[in-house]
Amino acid sequence: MIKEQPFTEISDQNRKLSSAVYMEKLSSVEHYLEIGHNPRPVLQSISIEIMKGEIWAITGNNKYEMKLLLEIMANIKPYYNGRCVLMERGMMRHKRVILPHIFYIGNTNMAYNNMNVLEYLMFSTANSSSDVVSQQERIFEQLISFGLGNISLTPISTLTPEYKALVLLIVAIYSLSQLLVFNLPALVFNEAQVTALINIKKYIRSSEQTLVISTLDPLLIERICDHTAFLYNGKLIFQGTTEEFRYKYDRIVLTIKDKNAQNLKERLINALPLYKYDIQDQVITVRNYSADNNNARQIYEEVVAAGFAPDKIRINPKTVKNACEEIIKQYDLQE
Amino acid sequence: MIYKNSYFKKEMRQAYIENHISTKRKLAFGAFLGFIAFAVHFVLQTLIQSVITDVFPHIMQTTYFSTLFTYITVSFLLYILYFIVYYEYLSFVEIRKNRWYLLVKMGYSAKNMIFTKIIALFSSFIFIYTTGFAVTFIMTVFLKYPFTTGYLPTLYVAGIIDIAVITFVATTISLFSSQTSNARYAIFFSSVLLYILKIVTDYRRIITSQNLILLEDFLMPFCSSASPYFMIIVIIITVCFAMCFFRAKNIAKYYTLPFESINQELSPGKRIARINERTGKFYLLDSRDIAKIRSKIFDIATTSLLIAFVCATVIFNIFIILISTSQPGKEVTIRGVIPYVFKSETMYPEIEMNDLAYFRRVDETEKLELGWVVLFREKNIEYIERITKIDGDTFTVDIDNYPNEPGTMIKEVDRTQIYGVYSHRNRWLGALILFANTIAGRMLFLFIPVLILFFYKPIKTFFQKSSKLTEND
Repeated sequence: MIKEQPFTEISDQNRKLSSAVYMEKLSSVEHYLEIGHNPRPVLQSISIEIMKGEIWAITGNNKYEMKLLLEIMANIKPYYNGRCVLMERGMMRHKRVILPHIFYIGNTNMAYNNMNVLEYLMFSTANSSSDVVSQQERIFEQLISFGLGNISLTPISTLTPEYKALVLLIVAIYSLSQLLVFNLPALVFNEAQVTALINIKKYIRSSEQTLVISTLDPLLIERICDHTAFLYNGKLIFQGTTEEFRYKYDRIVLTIKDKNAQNLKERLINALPLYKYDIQDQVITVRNYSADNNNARQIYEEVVAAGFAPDKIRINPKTVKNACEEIIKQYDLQE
Repeated sequence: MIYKNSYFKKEMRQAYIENHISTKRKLAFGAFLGFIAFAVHFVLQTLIQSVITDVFPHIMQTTYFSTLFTYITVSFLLYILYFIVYYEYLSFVEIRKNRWYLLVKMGYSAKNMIFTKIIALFSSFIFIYTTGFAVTFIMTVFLKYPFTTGYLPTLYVAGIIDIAVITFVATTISLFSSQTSNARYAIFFSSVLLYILKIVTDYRRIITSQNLILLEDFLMPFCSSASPYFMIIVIIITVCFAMCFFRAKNIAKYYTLPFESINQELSPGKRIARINERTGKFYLLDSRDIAKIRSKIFDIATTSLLIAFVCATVIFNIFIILISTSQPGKEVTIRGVIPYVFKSETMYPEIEMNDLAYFRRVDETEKLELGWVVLFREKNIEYIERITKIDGDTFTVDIDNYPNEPGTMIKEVDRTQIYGVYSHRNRWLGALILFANTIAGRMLFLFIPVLILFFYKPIKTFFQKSSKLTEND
């Protein structure tokens, strides 16, 4: 049985020095109303701490909840009770003024459609440099280094929402804001866009900015974010490093493909009953729910000993995708 | 190419992708306004012998005043359309789309942007308006109308005032209306109110009276002694400017949340409400029912309007065809009434040129009275004259208005020749039929309904898309 992650207390002094976002038992003004049930806050008892320079993914089973959490984090929406400190500054519960140290990207219509990408970046950064020629050269080279050279002269109106979001993120990294909140969970980035995001992430790291993104894309979390928080029914059920998340919740040890998958499964159940076995399309997925038993070699030896020669055996590299599926499955069973 | 855009340059560009294209387009739009005004002037000239001349004499004359007055009216209407089409670029709606949020973060000053936007907007529309005014003026030169310079500055300023006020009102509305479609309706109603204000303050009468402007000085229509219109406009503009400044400055500080798109996220039966901390009451955020009803109402309204327009034009076209095919001896009778487009001034003022006159069909037994205007046939030609003498079954008839040689149209007709008695007339319908027979009229009454019938679905889809986009914005 999985319990809610306890919030680790950090001393005030330490927090002051390194915390970008600090939320303590925060609940939202927005409530769910359902016939036959008491109203309950969309977000409840949210406690999270994001340190400066970290890159976080907020994921979960509901886009609205994820979006709402990041809106509160960016000081756009008020919260009902609890505490929220952003970049060492206490946040007024009812204010939604643009704070200078936070850059929020909440929609992809924020750029001017009648400009191309390079032109828009030049326009938005016009106040930061007087040497226009070197500024343009620098931005253009940076676009190429991000892997976005191909869209540098494309009109923004013709870009996909994902590319528009990337352009806005580039503007954000040029700003003086220390906390970048990228709240577009509905977007699905392709391989080239994820590569660009990885390159942008390197720039963010070098400039010591903090990035918080909301996403439903496990691949994006895996490749971009070093920390992950998982929202389930308005509560944070996990927060920690992405690696921790993968290893904690992805319980698949290995997958075995064999023509006689059913026979093999029966043999394995008898020999290694602590593991859990599922078959789909002649592929046996072996899961391990006990912390001690996690031995792929042992399973392999048992398969060979049983006289089977499987077509394919694959040791699971522990993915965010599996971890997400597993965590939802476990909490669904609990509820 | 080095991109060196300031906010002013960006604003001057408006909706276009490059600055020089924008200048060319504005120039072209100005010229287009001039040509359209000129075309409208020609269409109006075809209706000169109709009720339009009596009601709007200032646009029906063959003078510079008429062409330029037509221009300021046409440019006002088309400028509203231009503003509505490019609303996203011309108004402060970009603040609501959080475009300023991003610029403010990048070091732009909201205060400067407000002033810059207003200046750029006004310089653009003055450029467009002046181009059109010049084009109309030059085109009128070719018509060799009598040239009088007295009223030119007045008309020029009057047009600028109209466009300036609607621009200010529209930009102010954009700061208060969260939905683009609502803002568009507000602009439309504002322009209607502006027209009513002109009538109420007597400004319309003064500005349309060219003699008055010529006799007094050219600034006379704008003096408060003549009409309070100009003063009211100055107040409106000042208030709008102040509202623009403070409101824009205020909302530029905030990130504007788009329309709550939470409907897809929720399971059936689940709603989202916001709690009020003081009262503890819940306020529903999820507006799926309202959105559904709105969408349904919008669909029904669009479809009904299109159907009504097509039906009205079809009925009107049938009516015109019936009247046009009406020949002596084969008159079309609709429920005992013979409609006639009267093409002479012989019965002035009872029936005027191009009036649609209605004659009640009468049989030979009905008693006719002295002074009645009757429709009769003589040698297979139709005549409309007034009964001046009755002698048994012989009626002496005559016309009311002789252009020359009085008495030449006196006739004696037998009772059997008379088959219609004048009942009433419709001056506007007569003018409409006259217009329907011009090229522009045929386009409007035949071509456009056909287009709507053929492209009904794409038109409906376009409106639905616009509506959805507006919600997502």
